[in-house]
Formats: sequence, C-alpha cells, structure tokens
Amino acid sequence: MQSTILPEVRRHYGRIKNYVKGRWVDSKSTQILDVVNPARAEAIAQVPLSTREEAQEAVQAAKDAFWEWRETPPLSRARYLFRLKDLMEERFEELARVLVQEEGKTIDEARGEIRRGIENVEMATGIPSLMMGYGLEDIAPQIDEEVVRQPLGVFCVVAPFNFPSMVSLWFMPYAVACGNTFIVKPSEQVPLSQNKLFELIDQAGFPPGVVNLVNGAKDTVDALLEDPGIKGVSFVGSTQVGRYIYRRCAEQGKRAQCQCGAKNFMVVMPDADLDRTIPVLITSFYGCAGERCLSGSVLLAVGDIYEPLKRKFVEASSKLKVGYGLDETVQMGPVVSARHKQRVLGYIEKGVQEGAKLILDGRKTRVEGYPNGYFIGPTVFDQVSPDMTIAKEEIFGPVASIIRVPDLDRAIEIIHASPYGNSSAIFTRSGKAAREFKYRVLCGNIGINIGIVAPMAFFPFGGCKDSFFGDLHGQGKDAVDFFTEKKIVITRWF
Amino acid sequence: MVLELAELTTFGAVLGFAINMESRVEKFYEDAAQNPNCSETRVYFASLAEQAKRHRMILERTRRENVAEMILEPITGLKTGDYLTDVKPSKRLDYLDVIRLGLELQRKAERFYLDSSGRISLVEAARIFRRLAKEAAGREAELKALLDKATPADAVA
Repeated sequence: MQSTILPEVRRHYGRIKNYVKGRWVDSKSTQILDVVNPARAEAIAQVPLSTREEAQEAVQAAKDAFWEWRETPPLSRARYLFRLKDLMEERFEELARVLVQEEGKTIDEARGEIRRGIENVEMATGIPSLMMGYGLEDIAPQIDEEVVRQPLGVFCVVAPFNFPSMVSLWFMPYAVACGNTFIVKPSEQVPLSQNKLFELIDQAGFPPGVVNLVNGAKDTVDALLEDPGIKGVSFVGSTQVGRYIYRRCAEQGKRAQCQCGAKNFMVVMPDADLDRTIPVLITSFYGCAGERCLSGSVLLAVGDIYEPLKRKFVEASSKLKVGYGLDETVQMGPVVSARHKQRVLGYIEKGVQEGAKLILDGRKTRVEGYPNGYFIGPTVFDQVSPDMTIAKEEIFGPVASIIRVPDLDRAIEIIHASPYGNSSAIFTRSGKAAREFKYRVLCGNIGINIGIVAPMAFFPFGGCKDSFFGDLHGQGKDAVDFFTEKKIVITRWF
Repeated sequence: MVLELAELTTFGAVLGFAINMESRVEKFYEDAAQNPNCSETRVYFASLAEQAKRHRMILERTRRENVAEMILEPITGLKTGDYLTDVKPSKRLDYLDVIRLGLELQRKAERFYLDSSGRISLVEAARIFRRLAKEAAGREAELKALLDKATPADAVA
C-alpha cells in the first residue's frame, strides 16, 4: 500500500496578469514576487506588484462600466452569477488543487473553501428579492413613501492569504449583483486562486470593467484607498492593517468593512461530552494549520475536566497526519510561508521563555519527501496563564494553549480581557451554561459545541472589538446593505 | 488511477476511495460486457457498468457539495484493505469467474458504504452512502441468482 497524491494542476503558472476592462494585461511593474508552494518551498508563479497607475486604471475601468451595469436589470445581472457558479462547479477540483498548491491547506479544506465561495455566489443570485425596497401608501393624505436601494459605484476588496479563493466571494457577488462594479486585490502571497477565478469570470462573460483584478501590495492598496472613484472597501486581514484601512476610508467618506485579527477561546465545561468534543477541538485548533481567523487558540478547561481533556486532546493532536495537502490522507498542511513559520516558531519560543509547559512540540516535525516545506506539527502548551504572550496575541498557527479555570465566570473574564472579539465557543451538555455563554460573551461568532463558527453565506460574518471595524458585515443581507444606498422617495400627485 | 491508501482518515479520502472503487467496478463490467464468454448477459453487464458510472458521478457531486468546513472532523476506523478486491481484467475470464468476482465487488462495496455512512458526520453524504449500499446489495442478489442458475458448463472458457 502506498499513499497517492492528487496531481498538481501545473508545476509552474508563469507570471500572472491583471484583469482590467475584460482583458488580461501585463503589469509594467518591475517589482515581482515569487509565489511559493509552502509544502515544497518552490516557486510556482510570479506575481507583479502593480503600480499606482495600474490600480487607478482599474478604478477608471470600473467607473466607466458602472452606469451601463447599474441599468442592467437585477435578474440579468444575477444570470452572470449563475454562469459563474456553473463554471466553478465544472472546474471545482482544479480550483481546489490550485488552492492547495499556493496556500498549503489540505484538499478537503480547499474543497470546503471553494464550496463556501460558491454558496456566496448562489446567495447573491437571489438579488431580485434581496435588493427590493419597501413602501407605504398614504403616509399623509394622498402621499406615498418608498425606499429604493441603489448601487453606489466602484467597490474593492483587499483580501488575506488564508482563504485566497473564498474571501473575495464574501463581497464581489453581492456588490455586482447590486449593480456596482468591483476590483479584487488578492494577497500577493496567494494570487493564483483569484487568477483562476477570473478565468471563469472572463468565461462567464461579465461586461468589460464590471469585475477587475489588480495584483499588488501596500502601494496598490494605497492607490485604491486614495482614489475618489472608490466608494467602499472590504477588507479581511490583520487588525493593524484593518485599522489603517478603516481610518483612511473614514477620512475620505468611503464605506468600509474591515474583518480583522482574532484570539479565539474554546471553553470546555466539566459536563462536556469529551468523545464528541475532542475531534471538534482538533479541527478547530489545527484546521488550515491554525491559519483561520476562527481557529481555536486558547483552550479554557473548566474545573475537573482539565486532566482528561488535556490527556485526550494531546493524544489526538499527536496523531494528526501532517503533510502535503494534495495527499488525501493528510489532515494538516504547512503554514503559508517561511516567514510565517518563523513567526509561529517565535511564539512557541516565547511561550517556553515565559514559563508555559510545552507538552507537545511540533517544531521538529518533518514530512518525508518535502524536506523544505514550512511544516509545524500540532503544538500544545499547558500551564499557560492569561498574561502570557501566547495567551494574548494571535499566533495564526497550530499552537494550542491550555488554561485551567475554576468556573465559567472566570472563563468569560479571560475572554473579555482580550482585545479581540471574533469567535468563542463553549462545549457543554448544559443548556443553562450554553445560554449564559451565548448571552454574555462579547464576540461576533459564538459556538455551542461548534469549533469553527463559520457563518453560512446567508448570515453575516460576525466580529466585534478589535476583530471588526465597521457597521455592516460581509455576507448575507448585511452585504446587500453595504453595497446599496437607501433612497427615500415621497410622492404626491396633484 | 487506483488510489491505494492504508487508512481513510478524511472526508476527501473516503469519497476519493469510493469514486475509484466505482471506476474499477465500471471498468470490470465494461470488460465483462465485451467478454465472449458472457455473451448472454452482455446487456446486463453493460447496464451494471452504466450504473457504476452514474454512482461515480453522484459521488463526485457529493464530494463537491457536502464539504462542510465546520465539521471536517478526522475519521477513524476505515481501512482500505477491508474493501479492496483484486480485480482482474474480465475480458477473458470464464462466465462463473466473472459472476464470482462481481459478487465479491458488490459485497465489498456494500460493506464499505455501510461502514462509511456510520462514520461520516455529513448527513447528505451518509444518506447517499446508505443508498449506494442498498443498490450494491440489490446487485449482489441479482448476481447470486445468476450464480445459482449457472451450470458447470458455464465454467468453460
């Protein structure tokens, strides 16, 4: 018996292009980065860091396309998305494998990500209903009032490295379905998935300029932020950058929704069903190598559950198969880059220095056949205290910190001391404890016996405190609100 | 491509194994339908090949549509060795060997689908597996009936 690895779509994808005004265009930039497969540590493409002028050209193309697109009936706009959905289904496996190649996640995780993206496209096809306004006759004698929703113009997304395919689809389908035009700026570390998606966008036949792709880094983002043609920005990434983007947008009166960093706490109550809870926790802490903004990071063991929880969690963690995500038996892939690996290793070192007890050390993990890959095995710290760096800062890697607490009140205190408010979960068989947790905890996404509290496309993606800047979240009806202006019309006929 | 994995620990690995299993079944019955020793059951074997192809497509769709990120939990207890059949090219096998191998394939498929359905937490995928197990059991009964009707002369190639 031998493991068989699914084939890579291509070993090298060449130098990728921008997609502006319905055409693939080479960037004139002299700043070029390698896109690296994190399992092999080999370059698989080159990405240009587009110039400011190229970003501005994309904005102009999107502006030029706006009026004709907004006059296109919503049902006709939705049909482009139906075509995009069909193409994504047809090329599903290819999209998933490219995603594994550039980001490192497992093939199942990649398929899950593509599926989540498709679900958002599906959701946005309901725009003829979602975008309806409302009205009331006779608000005063013979006077009627109504609300209509109108698109605003050009929007853009600045996307992160951890979900290279899905994140743009939290926003783009809704924006264009509402009649706006759009620019995607993918992470320069993982631009291939968007490149593939835009091949499908091109095939779907969107009118030129309605959806545009500009590769780049900070300069490109700054050019988009500064351009008066941009009406709003969607961002997913770190709190530091999110705060910057939110401030820049506010200064210029642009709309902004910035989904930022996280430190997620998993509370395990004494009455939790451990046999059911452990696999859920494993997925939460180690899924996508801990590079989810919804990943578990701190395990709060309440009372007597501490010893059996620790034992079983470490045992299950140590059994995870780490390797190249295109091997279907692999359960955890590498982290995204050499630099990110060093960052995570730095946190592990910090944990040791600050006195936490390292009871499972993933630093020495090696994967046969991939000697240079950016692998870190599951890592568990015990005897962590809330003031330690590893308990406070976002690590974004497969590192779990166990803190023992006497009761639920103390667990909630620790959660509330964190500046972040992205996600927290409780594992219990008590409805009372679950209700109290749901009611009191200040986090945008709450899990009850769920480890990855990932809202479906028809719900907004929550987040509060330093995990979210803005009012309207991504996905669902919030997205429709974000991408439309509500116009009031009061009518009286003489 | 034949995937040979020691243990099926992920949703993708389970579905991938099932898809490859149906591909092997499809090829086996396609060969059987072209086997001169099986000329009287040619249409029947061709229909089984077609059915296996349909199963493969159902499984591919199931894999695409049912990956739920929040419950991609590790799977335990499924070893491929329990479900693999050494499938020989059936174009020149004698009739009885084709039936016996077909029976073995269906038994293993039924067992695989039943065992897997209990270990996958995704409801729709588990439902599809139970349905495929039932269909495998049906084919098993049909092949058993053919075996019971066969005479020693059928063994002559």
